[in-house]
Amino acid sequence: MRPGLEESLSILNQPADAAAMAASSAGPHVYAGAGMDVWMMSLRPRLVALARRFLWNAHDAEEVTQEALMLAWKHATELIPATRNAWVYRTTINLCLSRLRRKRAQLAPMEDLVAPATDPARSETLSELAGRVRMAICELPELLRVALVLRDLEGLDYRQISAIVHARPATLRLRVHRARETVRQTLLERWPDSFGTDR
Amino acid sequence: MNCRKAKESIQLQYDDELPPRARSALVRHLDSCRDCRRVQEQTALLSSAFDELAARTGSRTAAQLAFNDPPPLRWGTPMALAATVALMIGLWILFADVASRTPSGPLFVADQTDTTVVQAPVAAHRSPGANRRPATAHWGGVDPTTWLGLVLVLFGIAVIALRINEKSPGIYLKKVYKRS
Repeated sequence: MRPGLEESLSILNQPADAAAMAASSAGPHVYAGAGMDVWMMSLRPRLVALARRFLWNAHDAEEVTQEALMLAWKHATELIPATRNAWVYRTTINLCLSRLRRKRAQLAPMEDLVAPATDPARSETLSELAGRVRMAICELPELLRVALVLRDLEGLDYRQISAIVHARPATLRLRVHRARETVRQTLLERWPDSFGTDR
Repeated sequence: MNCRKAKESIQLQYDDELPPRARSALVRHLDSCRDCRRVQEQTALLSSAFDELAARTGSRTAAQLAFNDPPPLRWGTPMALAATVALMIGLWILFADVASRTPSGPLFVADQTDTTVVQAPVAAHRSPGANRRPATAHWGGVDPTTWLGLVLVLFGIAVIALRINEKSPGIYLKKVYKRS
């Protein structure tokens, strides 16, 4: 590990101002790029959310995010500011996928996920459907899962996804549509009442 | 609009990529097709479930970020150009080959030995193989230039077809619904 890396990573847990001060006082070998620490700080919650959408577990998501940010810090001098967002997203996704290859996703109960403030009656039905959809997403092949998560859960457009996963927008569109169709079919086969009793 | 096309349109509508004309065609189809209406309702419910999952797992602010990393391998345009050139050269070789095999004289000549006009094919009056290149036994009776032309044409068609397949949403979406 590069000298000063641990010290550098500790600033990730500090507020942005404190992080900037700590980074600037740590010396040039630590402070690898202008605004690098602030960039990492601003990206952290987004990366945690991304990792949670693959791993469905807050603890694993935190670990993966930390790992991705460590890698970003290690490669800080090589990262181009214009493309580093895509790089760190890609790295986080790859780390999530490699973790999922080693062990199956430890799905946290739906109740543990923060529920948005909506109508309680509607929320209950939707929560049940969302739980099933989550299981169906976990069974998708990797390529389809990545495309679906980035499009439908992260809300990115096809050009942004293209920059992250290095695939053509047309190919990604195909993967997303196929993934949605697979999820719909899985729900109908496994839980025929998912979309109401009228089938 | 048939049901397969309607299902494609429902997906495109969900992505907000459905052109207005196709939208009205979809509405007309949905008015008359119960199955497709059900697919649309299910897709809408799926969309709500995705929103619910997204809301439960954190912010959805990634779309505000700039992602500017182009794919490193951009072979599409050069490959399409190469395919077009290959197609042109291949067709030229094949046409030249066909032209060299076609006899240049009239197809039928009158036999002068008899008062009745008997038509005999020109080939019978010529020495065999006068206008033909020697056939090569190694290449299945077809000379290598013809093979080259054929290969170039097939390559050109295949690459252009693949490009069209990737570009056009209408064509590639058929793959999605082939099973359903």
